Amino acid sequence: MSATAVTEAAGQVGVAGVALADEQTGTRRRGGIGLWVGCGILGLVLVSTLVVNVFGVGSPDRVDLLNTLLGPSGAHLFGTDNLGRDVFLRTIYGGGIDVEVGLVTTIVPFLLGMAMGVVAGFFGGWVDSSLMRVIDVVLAFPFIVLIISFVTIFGVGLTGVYVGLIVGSVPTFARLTRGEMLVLREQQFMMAARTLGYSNRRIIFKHALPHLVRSNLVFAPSNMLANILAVAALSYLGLGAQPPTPEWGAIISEGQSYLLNAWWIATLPGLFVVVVGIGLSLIGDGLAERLRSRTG
Amino acid sequence: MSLLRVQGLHVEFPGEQARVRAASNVCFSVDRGQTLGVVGESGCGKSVTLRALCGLVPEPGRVRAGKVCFDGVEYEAAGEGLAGLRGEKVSMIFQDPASSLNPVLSVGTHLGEVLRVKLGYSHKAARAEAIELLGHVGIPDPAKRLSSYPHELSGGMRQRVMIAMAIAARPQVLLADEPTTALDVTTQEQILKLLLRLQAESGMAIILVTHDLGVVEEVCDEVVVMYAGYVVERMSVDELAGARHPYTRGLIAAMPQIDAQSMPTAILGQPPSLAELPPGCPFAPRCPEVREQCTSIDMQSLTLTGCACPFNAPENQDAAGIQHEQPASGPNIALQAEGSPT
Repeated sequence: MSATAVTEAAGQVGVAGVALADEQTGTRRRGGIGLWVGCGILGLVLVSTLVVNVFGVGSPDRVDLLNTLLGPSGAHLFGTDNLGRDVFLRTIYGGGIDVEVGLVTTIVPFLLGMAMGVVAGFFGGWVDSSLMRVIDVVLAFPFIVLIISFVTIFGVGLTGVYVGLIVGSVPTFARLTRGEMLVLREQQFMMAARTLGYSNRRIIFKHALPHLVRSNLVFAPSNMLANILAVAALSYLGLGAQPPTPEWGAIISEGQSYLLNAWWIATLPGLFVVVVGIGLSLIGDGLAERLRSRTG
Repeated sequence: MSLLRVQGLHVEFPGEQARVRAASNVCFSVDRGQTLGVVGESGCGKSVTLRALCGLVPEPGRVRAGKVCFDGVEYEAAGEGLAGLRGEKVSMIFQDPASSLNPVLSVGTHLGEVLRVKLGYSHKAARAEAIELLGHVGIPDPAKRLSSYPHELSGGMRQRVMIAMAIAARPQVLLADEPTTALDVTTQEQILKLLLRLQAESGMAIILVTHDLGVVEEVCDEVVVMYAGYVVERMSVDELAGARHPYTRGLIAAMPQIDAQSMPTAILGQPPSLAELPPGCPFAPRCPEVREQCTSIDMQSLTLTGCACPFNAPENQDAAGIQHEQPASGPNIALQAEGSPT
């Protein structure tokens, strides 16, 4: 009886062990898959946009009045619009603008914001106060209002959108970095680095920066997504890219009037933006997961 | 002539109502090859004193006054202190080895950086020297450990790496801020032995901040007892058992003894708030031997030779409120003349 009990117990332990192992590898794989799917989506969009824009596959502005408002088919994946232009081709071309805006208005604020945050957090005192007040001023404006005000200054078009999005994105990176830097500054290894007589520059770049990059990297995809959606929204409102420039928001805006009899013109590019958004969110989540487990 | 002499060190923090005096009129000195123990309760200014020595008082604290004399050169503590010497002449090790190494940098990077930046080694030479140093502080298989990250090492190992970094530049003074508090007793023993060995080899002076009078008895030559930011007693370690200041005696009585029948006796009450110190002797409210004159002792201008308590220090029997202006002829002589404590 005791022998069976023991084997049973052993079996249970074995099963529990296997289940545990499965669960662990399972969660890890799930976190990984999200990241790879996200990267896959973004990579596909990037590559197709690059190929189309650089090598010029077809023309997004080629009008074909004999084939207007055709539904989605093998020849026209997203159908054609009121001028017979291929909506799919226009969407892919549009990635050129949207992804570029997304990348530029993320990378520039990433660097600028981190620099501001590091300086503010590291040196503290009046440096910190003055930098943070500037950032408070920027944050006091609602995001879209801020960008629209820049569009007003620079005139309708992408310049104002670029500047507005960059100015509007810096505060988040700066605050994030500053917060982390404040925590970091009190860490004993920072103190240790100072007792060893290292210069401030060395301490910041070598000892602090690796810690600060992580959280910013996790936030970057979300920022890029927000900015892509912002530029699409502005173009939809007619403040960003102007027709006939192929841009996601502009395409959707043009298709809006035909929503009832040619739903695909606005809907399919819209869904395309949604998929890109999901991809970016997956990258952000995956990065958060991965970088968290590594530092554990 | 002592290697490092600190005189009249004052460290203040701006408080909400009053200034918080974290260290007041701190004086001590340490010779080459000697170990000075700094003991006292939590929050009595031990660590802040050490930090002030390297110009690293945490914000918004300020060193208000004091002189630091290092190797014959006098520095104003109110400025940068020994900031210019840190890393080369003066090094520091910390309480918690878990957080004193940067988790994203490997052991080799930590050590190599010290050697390259402070001593101008080449990459290759730094690597060889780092292996040498790790072996020296008793880390097995040092070449392999170079690529380890702090989280892969035990607490004792991390503290050894920290020590290796601190001694890399062959400092003349090592400031050790409770180096063994976070370690278990066996590791503590090993680390203390390592420090003593390194000291014997290089002749550096060690200033060891600790809570543990047992550690002091084991490794120190001289002891400084601090209370509420003041140094209340200075003596050689042999005299610890016959300590004169009521606070020091209280600390000794509060130590658990393995062979003793009685329980350790606690010092009643709490240390005073550093923002509102009582007038005169800061220990007076808790002192079992308190007298009327205690509130008029002038702790600020006292030049401490042995014990800050005038009723237990033989050379100042005349009254309270006097200035103990005797030259530092050595506390031991004065103490021995008086005989056993009351």
